[in-house]
Amino acid sequence: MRLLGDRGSTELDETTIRAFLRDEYPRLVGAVGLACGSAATAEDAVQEALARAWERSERGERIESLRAWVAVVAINLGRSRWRRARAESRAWAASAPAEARASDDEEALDVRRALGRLPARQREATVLRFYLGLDVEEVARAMGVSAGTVKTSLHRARGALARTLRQPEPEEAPDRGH
Amino acid sequence: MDIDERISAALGRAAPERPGTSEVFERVASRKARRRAVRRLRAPALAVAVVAATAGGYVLLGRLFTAPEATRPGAPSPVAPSVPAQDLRCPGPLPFEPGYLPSGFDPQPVAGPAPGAAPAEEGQLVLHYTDGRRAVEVRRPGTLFLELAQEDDAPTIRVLGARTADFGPVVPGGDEYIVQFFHPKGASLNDRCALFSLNEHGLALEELLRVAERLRAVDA
Repeated sequence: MRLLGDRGSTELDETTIRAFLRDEYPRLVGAVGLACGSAATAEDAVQEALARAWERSERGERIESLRAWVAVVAINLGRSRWRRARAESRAWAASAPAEARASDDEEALDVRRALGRLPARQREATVLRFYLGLDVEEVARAMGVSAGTVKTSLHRARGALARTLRQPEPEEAPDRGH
Repeated sequence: MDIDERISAALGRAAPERPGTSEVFERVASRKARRRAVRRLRAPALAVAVVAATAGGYVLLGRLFTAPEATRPGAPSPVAPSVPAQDLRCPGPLPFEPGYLPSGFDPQPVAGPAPGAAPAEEGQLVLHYTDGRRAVEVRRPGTLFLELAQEDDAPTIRVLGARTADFGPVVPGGDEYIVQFFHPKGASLNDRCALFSLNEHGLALEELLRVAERLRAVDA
């Protein structure tokens, strides 16, 4: 995880951006693609979010976790752009087959459809937690909500996804992510 | 494998193919440079587009307001088209007054921009309220930014309560936040004099929003 320094820091430069692209970009595009339902939108959104982070860092703004910051901003960008294109539910219904890859198995498609049916907050928390591997506190900071809210969102999402995966649903809401 | 591990594994298979990174750096650098250039424009004197709130959402009208080209001698103008100068004078007094000002602020407005703020354009009405250290400016016609007004993640608020205006992405300027709005509600978006902005200097965003939302309309 990349940490930017305090105000006045110039830690984001060409070298760090190139390293970030090499190490984090593909997975971030995957995360945003899962969250917003379109790989093309995800690529565009991640690039825009990273440009914003870079420009902000040049003005001395502090970004604690670049990966989490870019992920959340890109998800928001992707969601609003996608929503502009078509209503979100319709987009999801249509996008899953369109975004399918040759190697997709049935379960992957089911999971993608199940993700698309989740409320936005649950979907974002799920992707940040289970795909990007952020812990609950990081997810909460990135989304600007409390850890409790994240746990609740994850619990509900876990139940929905468990049904898709034909796995017994968890009875309680403990999240071992922190 | 427990449920969390199964979800992680399933998401890994469901995620889009990993993209290549060729030329991505160049695209990111280009976007960053464009954003920086737009931010440097800063003042209301450049060609701007209006994003209007409609029942269906924000619609980019592409309406260009014409205004003087440069804000300061030597100021860069890398993206603004060259447009002729126009007088920004608007008739009448401000149609609203503050219903709330932060603690310590003088309720009497001071003519002109806040110390250190962008100068007023020819004919532009600018006044500010201050406690001697911080300030809230009112500008008519208001400050608008071509790109920043379109930011997808810019929050929107209602100003002047629910009575008169409902437009206004709160955009971060270079160092300050700006609330933009049209007044009265329903005013033609072609009417530059119906466009106002509140520009804060040294205030927290929450304080600026409180000032905006508690503006009181003044009957003519």
